[in-house]
Amino acid sequence: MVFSPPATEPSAPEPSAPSSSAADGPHGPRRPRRPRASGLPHLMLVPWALVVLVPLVWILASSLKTNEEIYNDPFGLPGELRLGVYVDAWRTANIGAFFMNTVIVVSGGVVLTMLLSVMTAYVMARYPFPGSRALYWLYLAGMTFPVFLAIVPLVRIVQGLGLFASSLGLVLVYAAFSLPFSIFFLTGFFRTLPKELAEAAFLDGAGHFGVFFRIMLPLARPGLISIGVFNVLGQWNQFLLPQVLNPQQDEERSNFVLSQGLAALALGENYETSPTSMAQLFAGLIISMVPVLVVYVLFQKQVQQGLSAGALK
Amino acid sequence: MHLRGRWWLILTFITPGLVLYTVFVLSSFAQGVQISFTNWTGYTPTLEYVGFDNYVRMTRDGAWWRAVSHNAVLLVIIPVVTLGLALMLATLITRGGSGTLRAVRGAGAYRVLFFFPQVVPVVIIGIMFSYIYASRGGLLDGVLRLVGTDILAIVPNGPLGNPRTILLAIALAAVWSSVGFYMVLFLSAMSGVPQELYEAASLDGAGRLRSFAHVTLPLIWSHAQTALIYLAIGTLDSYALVAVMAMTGTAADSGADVMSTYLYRTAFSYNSQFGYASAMGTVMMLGSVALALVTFRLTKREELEY
Repeated sequence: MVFSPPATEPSAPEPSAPSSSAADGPHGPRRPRRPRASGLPHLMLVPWALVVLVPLVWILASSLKTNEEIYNDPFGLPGELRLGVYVDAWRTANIGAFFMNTVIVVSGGVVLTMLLSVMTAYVMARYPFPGSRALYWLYLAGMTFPVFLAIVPLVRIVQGLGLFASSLGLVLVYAAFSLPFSIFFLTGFFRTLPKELAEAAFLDGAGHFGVFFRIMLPLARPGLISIGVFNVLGQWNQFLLPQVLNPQQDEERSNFVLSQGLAALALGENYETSPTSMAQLFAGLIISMVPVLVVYVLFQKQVQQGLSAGALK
Repeated sequence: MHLRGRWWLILTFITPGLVLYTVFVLSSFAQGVQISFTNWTGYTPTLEYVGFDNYVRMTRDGAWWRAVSHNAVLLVIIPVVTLGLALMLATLITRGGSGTLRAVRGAGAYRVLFFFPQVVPVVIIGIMFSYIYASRGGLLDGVLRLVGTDILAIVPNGPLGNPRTILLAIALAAVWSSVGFYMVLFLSAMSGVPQELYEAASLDGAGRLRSFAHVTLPLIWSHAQTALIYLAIGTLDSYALVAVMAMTGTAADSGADVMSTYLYRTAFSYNSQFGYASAMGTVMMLGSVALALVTFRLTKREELEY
């Protein structure tokens, strides 16, 4: 919206290469001596590192403690290793059900998002037709509007289709709201791919669909990974949409996704149901953070580029 | 060339996405605006058009204005603190190495670590911070006890239980989650600034601060501008953090209401006043667009080529 995205080419060299390559180890090619090594920057960087890390470590440690231990000694180590809390959280606090619901909804949502956005983006980038610019802007507009304007009618639409409080309803809505950014990102990506291979395939007699599936799709792999990871994180994060479209259906809240389930647990926590009720909630937080952490560690470069591209729309 | 099958591919590829998008997104937005001119409650099958009644009502609704003012407070705190910290951290990382020109040692590690909060689901951040702020067994309380005081002595009722501090407490959680993201944005912008400019500035005797003000900042201005617009719109839409932290705190729910949480309750708790809630949504949409335009104008500078 402000200017064209510089990061729509995830295959391009890492944009911040200077910052990291200049920093790693004393083996840099041209670094004969250090004129003035200074610890000052670390003096400010390390505190922020602690601000980021300490809350996460504290949650992890507290997830193994009893309520009493948490209240009386917030920094103490747990008296004993109570890994059973994680089992309790999974079973008794029903985190297991929330987790499985989230996995189902997010996998369905991401697969559908990828499928629809890659097809649309391919046409936008390679098959301009009368009206394709208008269509592109129609998708872009969806990125700028606040979702709050949409939630009230959305309830009615989803109810009308008989998809209220169902996984399928969430999958469709997640995908629909993820389309704008994914299409925007992938269109930029397809534009950067070389045309020659496709041309050659056409000369060899390949059809439009053949070129797409056998040539363009494999070439687009890096872009697909970026946007796939981005969508996994974004849809795992959803709170408002499930809260509105997937309200509690039974006493165990067995239809909730993780974000809803944890929020409900946190609210009920004020009533202290068991000696380790806080630990169960913290264990729930850790359980739902693990997939995100794993995805992030595996794909941190793609995540950073994907999100930056989104911000610079 | 290859005209045969071209339209067939275009149609099969764009139709499914467009159908889904039209049914759930476009029609929702359009109906949102439409419903804002009705008194629909969600229970009646028919809509009755009431003109601008909902909008007029909004101008007289004290709770709405309080929510708007809370958004305004967040709109000042969150962008200023987030961008300030992000710029500082990015500068330290890019140019904090020896001799003021190089990246700091461990830049890659800092980058990965600082970005991590961005990927943590917002609901989890909200719950986590509720416990950081808790007056009994909270992290902040524990830190304060180490230096011989406690949270209740400093903030009566705790940060989330005190109407004077609850917004600040929520804003800090928002800052925690987004600093790393904007830092990464600035890191990639800064890596595009030619090294020669810093060398020249350094030869002219400019230290880190001066070369930041006179070289870095002007050259990455357009990124800062984008970041500001993005943060401003994000703050206007902030929902999950407030919803979670104001719920689990001891302050009454409405104590920290922002537009989105008030809209949510108007639509789904207070007798489903869907018409009125949609009017709020429409105003929020206009607000986002206006805010983006204003930010863009206010921060407009001459574009520097390099």
